[in-house]
Amino acid sequence: MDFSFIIGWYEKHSLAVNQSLIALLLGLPLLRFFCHWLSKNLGKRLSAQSVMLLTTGINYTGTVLVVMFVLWEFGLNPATLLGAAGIAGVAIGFASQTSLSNLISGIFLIWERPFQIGDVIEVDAHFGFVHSIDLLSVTLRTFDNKLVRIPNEILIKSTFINRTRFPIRKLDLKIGVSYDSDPAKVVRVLKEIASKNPYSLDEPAPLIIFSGFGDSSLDFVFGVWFANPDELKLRNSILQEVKERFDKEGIGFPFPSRSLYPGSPSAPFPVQIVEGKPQAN
Amino acid sequence: MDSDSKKDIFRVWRPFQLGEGKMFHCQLSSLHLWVVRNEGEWRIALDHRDDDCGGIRIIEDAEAPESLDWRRFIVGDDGNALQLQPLMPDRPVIVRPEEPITMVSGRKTTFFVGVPVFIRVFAGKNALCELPSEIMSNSWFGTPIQGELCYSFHTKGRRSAQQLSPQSNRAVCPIEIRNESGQDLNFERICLRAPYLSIYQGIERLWNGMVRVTRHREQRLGDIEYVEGPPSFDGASSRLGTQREAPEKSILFKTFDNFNLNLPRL
Repeated sequence: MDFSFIIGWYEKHSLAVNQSLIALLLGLPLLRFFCHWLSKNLGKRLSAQSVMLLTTGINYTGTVLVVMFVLWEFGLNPATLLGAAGIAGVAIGFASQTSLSNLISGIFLIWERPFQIGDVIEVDAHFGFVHSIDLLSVTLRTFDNKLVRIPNEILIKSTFINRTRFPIRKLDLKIGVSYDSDPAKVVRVLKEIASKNPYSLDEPAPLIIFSGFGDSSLDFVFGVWFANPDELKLRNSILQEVKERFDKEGIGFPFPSRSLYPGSPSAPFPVQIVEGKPQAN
Repeated sequence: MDSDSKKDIFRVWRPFQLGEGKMFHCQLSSLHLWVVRNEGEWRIALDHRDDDCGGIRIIEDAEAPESLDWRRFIVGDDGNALQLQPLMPDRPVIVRPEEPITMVSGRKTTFFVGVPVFIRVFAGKNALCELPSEIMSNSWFGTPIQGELCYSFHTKGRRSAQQLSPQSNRAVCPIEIRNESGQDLNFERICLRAPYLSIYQGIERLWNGMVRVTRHREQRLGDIEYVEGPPSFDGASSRLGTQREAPEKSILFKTFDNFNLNLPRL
C-alpha cells in the first residue's frame, strides 16, 4: 500500500493537523472537565436547572468553537461555513419541524421557568418529579421510578400542574356523615382534629364547609393546609384520626341507601308479619 | 429508683450514670424517654402520651413496653454518663395569646411565655439525637407564596412569671413590648425566633434571654432585640442550653420578617 500521498499531505499540513489534534484531544476533554467542575461548585449557589442550562450552554458553545478552530486550521472560512449552515438550516428546518417546535418550546420553557428540577408536576396522566429539562424534552421520574419523556411542545400546548411550586398546599377531603349527625358537632370535631394533628398548619386556618345535602349524607369539605414535605404523613394520619374520632363521637359514615314509599311519601312502608312459614312464589 | 421530683425540676438536666444493660426512663410532661446502654452502644426510644405528669418522673432501672420503636447508636466505649440538655426549638415559634391583646400608646409591658424545649441526648461527649419535649402544631408565617414553617402554641400571655407554674420542659421567655406608635397596638400572634435564644437556669424555672419589641410611630411592625445573657428574673444565671443561631445583625430588615403584630380578626 502506498502511503506516500498521506505522508506528503501530512508534511504539507503538519502544523494544522497537530494543532487540530491537540484542540480535539485536549480541548474537548478539558471542556467536559470544566463543565463538570462548574456543576459541582455552583450546585450550592444556583438551582439545579440553572447549573444544567449553564453547563449545557458552555459545552455546546465550546464544542462549536473547537470544531470551527479545526476547520479554520484546514483553511475553511467560518463565514462560508455559516452561510452553508444557514442554507442547511433551512433545509433541515423543513425536514424537522417537530424537533424545531420542541426546541423553540424548550427555549420558552427555560425562559418562563414554570417548574424547576425536583418539582412535582402533573401532565396529562403523568405525575412525578422533574428529572431534567432539556432543549427538546422534559423528563419526569414517576413515583414508581419510571422515566417519562415529555416533548416540550406538549408542555407548551397543554395544561400542567406544578404541585410543589409554592411551599404550602391545602388538602381537601370530602367527608359525608349520616343525616342524624349534628352539623355543628361535626364542624367542632373536625376543628379539633386539625388542631391536634402535628402536620396540619394552624395558619392558614383549616377550612370547613358544610357543602350540601347528598343522596345519603350531609356533605362537608375539610380543607387542611400543610407544608409540601408533609403531604403523605398528613393524608395518612388525618384520615385515620377522622375515622377514630367520628367513631368515638358517634358520628356515622353513611352508605348509599334508597327509601321506597308505597304511594305516600311520608307514610311508612307497610310490613305485614304473617304466621307460618314464608312461601316462595 | 423512682422519683417524682416536682421540687427539683432541674434534676433531669444533670448527668446520670447508667450501668451496662440498665434502662433509664424519664417522663417530662407528655414525653416518655427510654435509654438503654449496652456494650459500645446506646438504644433510645420515645413516645408522646396523653398522661401528662405535670413535672418529671425518672426511673433509673426501668422496664420498657414492647411496642416501642428503638434507635441504636454505636458510640464505642465512651463512659456511662447520660446527659439531657435543653435546647430551644429548631424553628421559629408563633405564640398566640388565648385572647387578642390591645396595648394603648405610650405603654410598656412584659409578657412571660413558657416555650416547650427540645432535648439533646448526650452519651458521654457524643450528641445522639434531639427530641421535642412536646408536640407543637405546625404553622406558616408569611403568605401562601412565600414564608417560613414555624411551630405554634397558645399562651395565656401572663404578665407575671409567678403566674406560670414551674415546668422542667418549658423555658420562660420574657417579651417586653413597648408601644410608642401614638395609637393602640393590637396583636393576636407573635413570631419568636426561638433558635436565637439560649436557656438559663433560674431558682425555679428555665429562662430565655429578654426579647424587646418596640413599635415606633409610623411603623406597621416592630423593632426587635434579642438580649444576650440571662434575664434579671428568678436569679437566672448559668446557661444550660446554647442558642442554635446568632441573631442577625440587620435588625431593621429582619424586624419586618420577624414580627407580625396583626389586628385581631373579628
